[in-house]
Amino acid sequence: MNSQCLLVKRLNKKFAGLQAIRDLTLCVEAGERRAVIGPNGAGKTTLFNLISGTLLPSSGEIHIFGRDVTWLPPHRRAALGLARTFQITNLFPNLSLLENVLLAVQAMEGVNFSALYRGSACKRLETRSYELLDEWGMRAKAGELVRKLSYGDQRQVDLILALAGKPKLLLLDEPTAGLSPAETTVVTEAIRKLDHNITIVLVEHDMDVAFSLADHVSVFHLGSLLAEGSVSEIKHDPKVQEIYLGE
Amino acid sequence: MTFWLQTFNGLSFAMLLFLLATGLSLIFGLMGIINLAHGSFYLLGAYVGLTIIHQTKSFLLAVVGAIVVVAAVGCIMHRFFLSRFYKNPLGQVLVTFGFLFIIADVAQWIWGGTPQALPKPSMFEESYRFGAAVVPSYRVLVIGVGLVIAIALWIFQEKTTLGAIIRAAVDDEEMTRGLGINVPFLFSAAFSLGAALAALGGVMGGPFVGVYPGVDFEILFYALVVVIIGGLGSLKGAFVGSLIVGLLDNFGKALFPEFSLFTIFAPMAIILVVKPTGLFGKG
Amino acid sequence: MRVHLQRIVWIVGLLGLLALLPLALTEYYLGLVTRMMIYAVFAMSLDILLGYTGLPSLGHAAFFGVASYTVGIVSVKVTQNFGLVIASTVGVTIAISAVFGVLAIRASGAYFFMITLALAQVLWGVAFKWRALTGGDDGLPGVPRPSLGISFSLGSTTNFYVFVLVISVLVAAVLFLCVRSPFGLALKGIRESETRMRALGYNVRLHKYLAFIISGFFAGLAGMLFAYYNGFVSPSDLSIVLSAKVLLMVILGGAGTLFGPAVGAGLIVLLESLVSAQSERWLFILGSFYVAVALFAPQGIGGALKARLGTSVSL
Repeated sequence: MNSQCLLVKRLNKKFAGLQAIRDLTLCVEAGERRAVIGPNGAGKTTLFNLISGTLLPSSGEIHIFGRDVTWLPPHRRAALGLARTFQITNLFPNLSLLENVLLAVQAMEGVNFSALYRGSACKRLETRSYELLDEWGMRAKAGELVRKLSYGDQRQVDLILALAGKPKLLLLDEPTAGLSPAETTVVTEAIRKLDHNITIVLVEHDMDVAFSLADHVSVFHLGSLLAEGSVSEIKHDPKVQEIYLGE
Repeated sequence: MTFWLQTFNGLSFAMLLFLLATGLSLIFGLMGIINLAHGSFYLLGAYVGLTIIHQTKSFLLAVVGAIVVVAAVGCIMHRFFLSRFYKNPLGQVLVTFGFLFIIADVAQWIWGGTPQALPKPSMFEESYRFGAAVVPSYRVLVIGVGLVIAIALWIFQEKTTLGAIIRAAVDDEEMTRGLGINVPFLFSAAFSLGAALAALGGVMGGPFVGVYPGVDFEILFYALVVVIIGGLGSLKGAFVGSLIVGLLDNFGKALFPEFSLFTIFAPMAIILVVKPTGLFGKG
Repeated sequence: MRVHLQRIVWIVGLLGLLALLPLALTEYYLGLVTRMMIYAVFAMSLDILLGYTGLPSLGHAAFFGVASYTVGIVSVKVTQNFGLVIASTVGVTIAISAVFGVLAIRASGAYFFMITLALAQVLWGVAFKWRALTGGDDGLPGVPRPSLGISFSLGSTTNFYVFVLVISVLVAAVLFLCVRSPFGLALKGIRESETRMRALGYNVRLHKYLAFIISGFFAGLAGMLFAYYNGFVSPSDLSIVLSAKVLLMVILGGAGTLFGPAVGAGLIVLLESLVSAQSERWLFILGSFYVAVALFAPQGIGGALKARLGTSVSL
């Protein structure tokens, strides 16, 4: 029970006429790396939206670190240590790279209200932001507007923002989507090197990336779980091959 | 007795609001534009109708003429000024505010500042007796016209191909374009329809609401409240909202004229707290 | 993000110029500049909401007017004690901001437009109809200048100018610090992407609500100054026309630049006084100006400057 990081229990989500998630039960252990794969429209991003709180379920429960978060708003879940990236670029386009990172850093430091002015706490936040940018080799671009950065850079920024708050549960929604092979390798390696205390749930279309990063795999189809197991089990599962080949 | 009179008055006012709210709602639902100059179409329709009646003594001609003129103005406004601000709400606000002021000033320049009222059509000058109540036949006409238009719009929306196309365009503009339908033309036509409905409202409302500088702001306010309560983009919402606002406002003014606005404010505030998108609004 | 020496020189120079204006201008023009400053405060308050948080209020005159009416009603009917007038004005303005905020914040996009406009119109209607309290469409004349309890009388144009100048500069400084603070950055973040802000852990609704109240408060401050400046309050202090005007000031000056809208305010006030002196068709010209700004300068002056300087970090 205490090693359970994420528990999804009998989750259902229905949109007008469409059952997007069907009676789903899923359990991810702390420190695990779980890949969620499945054909398009299987409900993977909907699942992420439900876990992060962007969407509310039709029925069912979601527990994070043993706490029932089913009805908690997104910002309260983030305070528990949840972070996510987005499939479609969702950054702060007209702000500089530094400001983007600063927003992520200051959120978790709790200074957003207490400092209505700029004090010494701000200096500390700025320093930490520059440190983060250094780790990713992006310090030179700190002053640039994010909307002017290349797509590959923006996907990196997506990751930086999610990591800035030192999350304990990280949801990565197709982190390599649209990246060139070289960029994909860079991002994959960066994810691989992440602290193994962080639980990672990864939605990926690129099977190689998914299988190379994951300990376990959950396969989705039409809103429910088709199969679950280790990487090699799933690779050889005939049901899984069928849904992909049948596409 | 006065209860029934007030009810008829409230209902006829509600029908006017329906004509306005429905146009506003259609324009928003289709193009995402909040047309702040919608009250101006009402004002223009009433003034143009007034001039035509003075010249020709024909109410019918006034209705037709007002609709044609205002629809044309609406078409020009959308085609040449608004359409380029698709998905740019601030640009739309600037343009529609601009036209609101321009039309208000031009109207004052042409027709002067004294409040005026349109004469009723000769056929509807008497009042009917319903038991002990005396109800002006003109008000009944307005209610009738409003209901006919409501039904016609509903049939158009639900049962005709063009209605289906418009509903499709509201849901997914790109797809509709992809199907080869001339969406810009559709949008301008819809905008003109909205303007025409407002103009009809202006002429029909002329005999009892009157026309004066400022009626554009006032009627815009009522139309907005209707849409806030009923929900944007919904014909049913416009109808129900108009009934609520028209009746409440009328009774409010009859019972406590200085505070009548609170009878409007209260339902609006309740909706905003309970269901911010309105009774039948789309999220 | 240090303020450069060059900018400090500019600011000091500007302040010096403003301080010395009473020596150079006639009473009429001094009064005009006073009005420009009052509207500058008004425009900056809207910029916090519109330019920084991304919430486009079409009913900002509500806070301006409710404050000016409170000043008018209290000074004329209750007491002229400056402290009490201020206290009641601040109280009423914050109360209205708080209530309107609750009603408006849950909406977004077009709904927010409509709701802010409708709420302001409700207040306008009340002012228009409740003759006993507000004087109806005749308004309330005879609002006296406040007495500060010191020998500096605000009755003279020059002294009142200095009074408004000091307050405007203080407001500008406070708002400047506010937008450069972590809170201000959070507001910008909300403007850019609410969903991301929530995912990062920000209570977006609370931030928006606070921005609404802060913005309403400073708009009310401007309204209070205006009531004293004008000596007269009327429904036009709550009108759509005024809400539209301050919106134009913000857009013309450049939304999200804070000082741009202040400049925009000055320009519109100047334009208005020049045009209405020549022609009765001021509303027509104003309307055309709106359309022109939309077509040719949607980024406004401040926005164009920012694009030239190529940085978002300046203000």
